[in-house]
Amino acid sequence: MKEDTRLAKWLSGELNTEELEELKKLPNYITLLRIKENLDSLQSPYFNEEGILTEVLSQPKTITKTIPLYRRYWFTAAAVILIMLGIGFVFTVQDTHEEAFSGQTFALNLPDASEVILNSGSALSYNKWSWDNNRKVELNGEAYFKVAKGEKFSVITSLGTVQVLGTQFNVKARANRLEVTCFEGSVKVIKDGKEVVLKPSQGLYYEDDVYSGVLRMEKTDPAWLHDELIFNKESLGAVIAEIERHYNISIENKANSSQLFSGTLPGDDIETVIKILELNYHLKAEKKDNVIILKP
Amino acid sequence: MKEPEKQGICDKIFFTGFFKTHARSLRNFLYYKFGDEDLADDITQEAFIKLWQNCADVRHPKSFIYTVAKNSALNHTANKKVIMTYTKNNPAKETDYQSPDYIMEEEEFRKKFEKALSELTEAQRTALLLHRVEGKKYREIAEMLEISVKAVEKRIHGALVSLSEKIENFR
Repeated sequence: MKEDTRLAKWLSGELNTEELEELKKLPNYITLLRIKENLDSLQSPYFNEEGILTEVLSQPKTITKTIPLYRRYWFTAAAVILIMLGIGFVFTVQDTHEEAFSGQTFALNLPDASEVILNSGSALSYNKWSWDNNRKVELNGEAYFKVAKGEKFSVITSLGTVQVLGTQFNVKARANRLEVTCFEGSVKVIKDGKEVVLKPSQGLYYEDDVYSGVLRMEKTDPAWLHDELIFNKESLGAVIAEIERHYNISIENKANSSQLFSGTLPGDDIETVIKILELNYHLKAEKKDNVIILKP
Repeated sequence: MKEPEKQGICDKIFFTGFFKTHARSLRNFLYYKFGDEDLADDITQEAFIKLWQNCADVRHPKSFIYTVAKNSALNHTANKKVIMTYTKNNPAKETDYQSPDYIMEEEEFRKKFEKALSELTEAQRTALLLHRVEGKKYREIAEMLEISVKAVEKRIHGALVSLSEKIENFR
């Protein structure tokens, strides 16, 4: 033990017997003892504890309290904002998706009050959040559009793009066929860099990328809206697919015919539809476990 | 340093408990330092008011009050003598010392002791009285003064050497 702390150890009673014996040999040991006793008889000064406590507690803590609270919750607030930004980002990026299943049609309004009616087995998606800058929908299937007047409106399909400024038109994008019919205003069809403008009562289709030319259409709106299936030089496969979607049934076609079909089929009478197919293609229909089989 | 009283220091009951545990030590620490009771009271009160007002923001209340008090104390210098009173009237009355040379009359010894005590350095006096009168352990004093335990022990040792030398030389 160092000499310069020995008395401190003694005062706090930390010396061992040996060290204590050694200390007792000091000439001033008795003085030290008496100092210790005098120290221990000293009284802690009077302290007006209650008075000061009352004074302290009477102080308002409002002003300073708000600042620490703000600081303490700063990180929480930052985290919340980040999460909200994240959610906002996801919503911005994520498109709204609408779908009409087989056997049904589905009407919806776009953010600018444009109307869309989806035909059976069709899907449409668009971005609600960027709609004002970007009036654009992606279509898979068939839909009838009644577009509100405004900026450019685009319908994008895997087969081509249709652009309009406020009009009524029908777009059908099925398998290998893109079909557009204009009912009001004008429509621009963009396909492989080629642009065709349609006027009211005009239509066109691309089948396997082969252009039909501008066709004359008599209807003022698509037949499927009135529960009619209208076909313009479509393959048997395409007609059957349309019937399947519309009636939500399964048809197995064992015939192999390249004869195209034009005409109207009823949308509410499957028996008649099958009859028409049997007569036109010289087929025999058989029903088996909810599946209609067409045989030559 | 984990301080349980940190939780709910804004709560009045909790604060009161904390005050009763620490106010006296702080106040007497300041008194031993300055020898001025009013000043010690003022600084103590000010430190606790700041704690009360900033309760939500204070993580270590004990360190906080000592830091605030020490900052306030920087503006003051010790200019008065520390005057101590005795609990017992005759501290060494029943002690039977072996060597008659060192037996003094109690009153005489006490006067010398008081004089010697008042002549200690501020650092020595503060450490000694915190230990002996306030019952603080050297470790606690070290925390209060923000020095090492070793430094506290040196101060106490120095105080005792000084006291005994002075008392013997006053003779």
